[in-house]
Amino acid sequence: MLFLIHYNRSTGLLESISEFHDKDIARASSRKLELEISLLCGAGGQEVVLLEADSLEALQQTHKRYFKTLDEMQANSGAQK
Amino acid sequence: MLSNNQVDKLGGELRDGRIDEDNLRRLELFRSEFVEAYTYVENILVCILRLSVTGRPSKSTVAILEKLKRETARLSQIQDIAGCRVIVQDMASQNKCLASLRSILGNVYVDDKRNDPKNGYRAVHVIIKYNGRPVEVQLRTKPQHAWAEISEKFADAFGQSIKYGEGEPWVLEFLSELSMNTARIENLRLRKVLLPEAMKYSEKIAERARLGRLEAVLFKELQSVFDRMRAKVAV
Repeated sequence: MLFLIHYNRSTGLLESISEFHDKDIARASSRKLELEISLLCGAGGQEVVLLEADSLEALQQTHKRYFKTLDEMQANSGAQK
Repeated sequence: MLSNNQVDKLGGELRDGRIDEDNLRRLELFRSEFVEAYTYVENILVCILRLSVTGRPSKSTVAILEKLKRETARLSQIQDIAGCRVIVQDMASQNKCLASLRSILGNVYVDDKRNDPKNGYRAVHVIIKYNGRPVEVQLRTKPQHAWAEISEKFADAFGQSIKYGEGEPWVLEFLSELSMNTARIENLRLRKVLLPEAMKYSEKIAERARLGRLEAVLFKELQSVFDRMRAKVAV
């Protein structure tokens, strides 16, 4: 699966996430470009990225930063041994 | 397809802050040229090595802009436009994974940051080229990955310069201590796995127990590193 992520670095929060089939990379990339263009006039700190993973759960493990706040990551950090 | 000159001209304009629709479209065109190489590498990792992979067919615009501004590198020289991330259990698995990649692909460029961390970041990066396009494979163990995720999140909260060793001193100190502590624990675990063949069974048991006790001490230290950080955040 492909996941188009819009993450706000300033707030540390996920703004939106859209899913695409693996074979839809051209469509997903085009959507990513549209989103980036739409954000041109807005505030900075916006991150738009296309990621591929087996599932949303797998993505949440390899890219926690987009899904968890700093507080949530700290709360879990003690268990990361 | 953009020529190298066109790519570098685009990079120069982006570095100078000319981020408009035309340049975003050209940047996307450039990034799309890496998809074939990305797919090739991903197939090797998933279909041949049977690894669980998260991929990034192309680096985000904001990350490219930061890299262009931070380094003197030209856009055409950036090695991680496309990348894949593999997270394995421990350093023994990481070494095995690296050996498999070398055996399949031969001469690949390896940047082993485990014993020479870059601002605390430890991992093994492998650059694989396909049709002239590089793809960066990040091989991380779970503890290395946990550190990297925490570092990224702190960078969002306290500024991206944190990742490059600048900014809030207590955050830098925390990340540095966490990295060193994690490295010591990982190295101990690797020693447990790599006990000499010639060692007697009873000696192996005793050595594993000794290393286990050391590990417990390091875990306590790790916990105190987190406690100190939480106390700072709470202030």
